[in-house]
Amino acid sequence: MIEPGEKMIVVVIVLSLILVGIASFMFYLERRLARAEKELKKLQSEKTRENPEGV
Amino acid sequence: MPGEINTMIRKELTLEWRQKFAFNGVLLYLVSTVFVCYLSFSGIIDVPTWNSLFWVIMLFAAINASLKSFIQERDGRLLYYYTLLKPQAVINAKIVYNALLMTTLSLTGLFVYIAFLGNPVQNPVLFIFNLVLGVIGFSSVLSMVSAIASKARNNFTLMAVLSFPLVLPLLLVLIRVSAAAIDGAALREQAPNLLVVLLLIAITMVLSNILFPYIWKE
Amino acid sequence: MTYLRNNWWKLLGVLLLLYVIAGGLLFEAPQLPVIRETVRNIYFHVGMWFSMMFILFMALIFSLRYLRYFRPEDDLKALSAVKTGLVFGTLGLFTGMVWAHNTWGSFWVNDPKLNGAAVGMLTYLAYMVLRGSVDDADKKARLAAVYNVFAFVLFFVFIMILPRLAQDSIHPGIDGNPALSTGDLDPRMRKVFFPAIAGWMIMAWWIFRIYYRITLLRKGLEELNEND
Repeated sequence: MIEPGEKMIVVVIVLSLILVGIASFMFYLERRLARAEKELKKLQSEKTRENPEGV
Repeated sequence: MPGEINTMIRKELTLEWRQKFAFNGVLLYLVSTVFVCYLSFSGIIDVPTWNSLFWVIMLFAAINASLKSFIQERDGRLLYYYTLLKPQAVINAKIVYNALLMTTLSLTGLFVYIAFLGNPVQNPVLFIFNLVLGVIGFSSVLSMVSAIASKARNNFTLMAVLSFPLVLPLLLVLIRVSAAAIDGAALREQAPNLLVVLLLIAITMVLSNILFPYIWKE
Repeated sequence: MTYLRNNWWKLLGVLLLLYVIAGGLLFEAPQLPVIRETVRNIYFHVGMWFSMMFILFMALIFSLRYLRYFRPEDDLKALSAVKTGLVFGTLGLFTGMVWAHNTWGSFWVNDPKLNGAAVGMLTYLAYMVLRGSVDDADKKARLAAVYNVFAFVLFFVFIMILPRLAQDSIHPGIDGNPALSTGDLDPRMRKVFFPAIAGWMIMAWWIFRIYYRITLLRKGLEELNEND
């Protein structure tokens, strides 16, 4: 079996890269989500302006 | 008073029993299944298998019986109950009725089972006590699940899917106690396990009483 | 920056897990028989289960809130939480199976903890089947919420009862986990274990939040389109 030590640092770096990569992707997703939510709110308010609630 | 209403519903359901729709159906299922097992095992099975097989058959019977009792209600009938009674009365009556039904069915089933596959039980008192308590436990869990499943499509499949995980812990305890009963253990020894079953019954009845009102309106 | 004030915890989660990866793999770990270095699995595999329990508990809260106020958002939150919980549960199962194979030679053993995990997964998969079997949105939400409450309580009781049952059994052959209980109390492991649990729970919550927002958006779009 490979002894822990210098070789293990490679595993640590790989895993850390994966984690940071996924976390960055999640931050990016949230920014996209925020933009989409704003779009949706705009579309929803446009619709209520077209068909006022009483109709 | 909930007590009076309970009795009234219990009487009404007992009157329904005159049709014997659920009773005959499940009884037939029990006999057929035991017979199939007898044929496939050539009548020779070891003790742990005897025990587990018995409980699996009982479980399916209980699932069938409790679902039938909910599906049987025609739509008008539930509305009728809604105008008259508190929801707790309805679900408690269902639980009690299912428990009584299953007790009768399980004891009958036990005789059929023993007739075909022999009787290795050394402590019959513990075994039967465990059986009856267990079946009451099934009824208290399965009645609520039947109430849920009866309101959706794919009733029978859904009922099976929903019930198995919820009834598994109870089943495991029951199998353990009945295995002990077969080996001749004393009732006092198994008292903690039986208390666990009692605890489960108490918890599920409380939960059913709290939750049933939310779903009983059509 | 308001962004940091609202989202600092996400950064904390990532930092904690970076620490756990480094510490979990590089710090000294107790050398137990058979499992030896694989005891480090605890930092990751157990994190999955704790996260699952936490998220499913939140699902219970959302279901209770739905039954109290009947807001559709609470039902959607419960749904998203259950889905997230299922993902973490699956990951917990797979990581557990890999570790089990290394330790005991098979992917599954007849152990109360594993059976409890399996029952949990089945319970919440059944929740998804239930939702799929009802067409009317209100009915779906109500039935699902009621089932969720019923199921979680029974599931929780199950997890509490089983350890007691295992001691009670006359028949031997239930594989205990002696390594697990002695291992994670070891102070050398404690300094990575607790941050690990915290880090994974934070990630699970973050993932839940993202999933919930996506679900909300999709529902909003559907409603817009169906009314056109």
